[in-house]
This record gives sequence, structure tokens and C-alpha cells, in this order.
Amino acid sequence: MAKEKPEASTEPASTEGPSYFERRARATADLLKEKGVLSADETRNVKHGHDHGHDDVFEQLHANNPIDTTEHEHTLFEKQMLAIGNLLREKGIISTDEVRRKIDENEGVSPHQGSRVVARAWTDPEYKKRLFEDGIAAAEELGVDMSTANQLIAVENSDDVHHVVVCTLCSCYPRQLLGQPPDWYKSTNYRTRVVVDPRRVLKEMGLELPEPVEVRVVDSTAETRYLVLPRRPEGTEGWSEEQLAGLVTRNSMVGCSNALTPMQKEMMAD
Amino acid sequence: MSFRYKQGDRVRVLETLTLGHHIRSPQYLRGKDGVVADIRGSFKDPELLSFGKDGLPMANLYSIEFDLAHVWDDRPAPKGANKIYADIFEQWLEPR
Repeated sequence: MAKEKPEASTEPASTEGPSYFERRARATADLLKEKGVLSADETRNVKHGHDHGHDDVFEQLHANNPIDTTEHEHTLFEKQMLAIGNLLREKGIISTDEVRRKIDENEGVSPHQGSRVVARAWTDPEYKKRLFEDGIAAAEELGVDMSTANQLIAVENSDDVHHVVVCTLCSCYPRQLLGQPPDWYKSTNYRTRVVVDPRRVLKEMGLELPEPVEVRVVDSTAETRYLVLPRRPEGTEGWSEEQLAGLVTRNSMVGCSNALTPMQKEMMAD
Repeated sequence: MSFRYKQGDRVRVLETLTLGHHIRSPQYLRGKDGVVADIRGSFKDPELLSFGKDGLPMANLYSIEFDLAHVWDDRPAPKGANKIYADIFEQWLEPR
């Protein structure tokens, strides 16, 4: 997919890569142009322009913005971008999730990064060993940017043990490998119920575990991020890493499903 | 930095009541017994970082294994073996 970089060069430069606001601003501008809501000129005006008189909305938005770690008082530019984003959401033109997905797209983060790690671990026992010893280093070996992670622990699902990951406190998630968490992962329903009756929640999500299987709910409460290594599906002997990666779904790396079987994959393609 | 607990030690999560956000010890595990499954390492203390402090001294972090039926002992136990693993900082643990 072709990616423009509209106005990126006119935004404040940073020596440490794009800031929260720069990323958000770029994604918002991209979306506005794609949707034909604003012309290039209008987009430029918005970025360099005027107070839109939505201070109250801005205040409210800021209060609900826990991932904004900006330390200085917001600049006019940042305020404008927040106010515009809020306006567009009010009008139903873009959603918060769309902006998040766009940020991921711009930065090339999707669950596929995690799928590559799993597929390599399935095919290379030495790599698998390194993954369990030092998850961050193993992911970096495959070119994944792990600079924002403190610790990555891989947990392995087998015929006897099944891991499922949750964050009961908020929405901690291995974003470097899987992108942004899906809505259900952040939902109160999932977060409160999976630690109480995991088998039932998994069944509702389509995964019925035999009673002898030990279920381990991993609550991601602190610095550690978890990647579930699902079982390698049967009938995949001799498959290439790339073929195998195509079986590794996002949910299987959170532990809410198994990896796809070759037949399931084939049916999806039809 | 020395770790107070080692793998296999029995511990209990403190029952201290807290208000507000940014505390990394989930309420549902307070007062519950568990076993040290692994030592995760030392990290800047997020409970200090979240209030604008520098996060020092560093805090020791452990993976604690809980029996799910024990955590929810006021409910009928779900079938099969069910465990909860949570990462708990040392300041939230006491020996059992």
C-alpha cells in the first residue's frame, strides 16, 4: 500500500524518533486526506492554523488520555491535533481505533511480527531456546524493534498445559510483536472473567480444553510482556517458516485459540 | 540487588488497601497465598514512576503462582487444574 508522508517535514523534528503527538498527528492527517474530509491545503492550515475553540472538549480528551506521556505543557499544535481528533470522532468520521491502527501501519507493527517469532521457534530448536532465555534479544534477531519493552517472556502451550494472557489492571500487551490489543482484550468482561473461569471464557471464544489440560492464566501486571507459543499444528511437517507463520493468528499468541490447522487456513482462503 | 525470595518460596500478597490507579498489585490477589515461580528481575518501581518520581530504588519483581480455586475460594471451583500467574513486586509480598 502506497504511503504518503504528508507534511511530515513541517512538523517539529525530534532526535528520538517521532513523539506521541507527531505519530498521532501524522496518522490523523493521513486518514483525513484518504477520506477526502480535508484537502491538502486544509490539512496544512489545521496543522499551522487557529484555535478551534474546543478547549472544553480538549480538557476532557486529555483527561482520558492515559498513554499521553508528554511532560511539558501542551503546545498549541498538540492542542489543535487533540481538538481536531475529538471533533472528527464526534462527527463519526474517524474512530480512536482507526487512529491506533494507522499508527501501527505507519510503524509496520502487526501481529505478523509475532507470527514470525513463533514460526522460527517451531522450526529452529536453537532459536526456541534463545527465545525462552531472552525474549527481547530473540525478537530483535528477527528485526523487531523491542526498544520500548522491558522484558518479553515466551510461554509454551502443549498437550498438557495451556497459557492464556490477560492484563487485569489495564491493557498491557506485547505491542511490539502484536500491534495494538483488540477491543475484547481491553474489555472489562474479558479482564474480570478470564481469571475467574478461564475454561468457560475460552470455550465462549471457541476453544474447548479437555479437563486434564492445566490452564495457566498469566496476568500481565507489571514490566513483563508475554508471548504465547501455540502448539505447532499437525500436518505441517516440512512446511517453510513463511507458510507456518500464516497459521499463527493473533489470538493464538494471546492463548485464546490454537494456531490454525492447514485445513482451517485453506478454508479461510476460499 | 539481593532478592528476598527464591523460587519455590511460599508468599502472601499484602492486604493493604489502596485507592486510585497505578498500583501494580491487583486487588483480587490481595491476601492470597502463592508460590514464587520465577524471579523476573529488578525494575524501576512503576508505582513511583506513575507519580512523577524517578522510580528509585529499583524494585524486585517475581512471577507468583496462585491456585485459582484458592484465589476464588468463595466460589465453586472450576473443573480441572487452573493456575494464575501474576507479576508481583517484592514490596507487596510477605513470607508464609
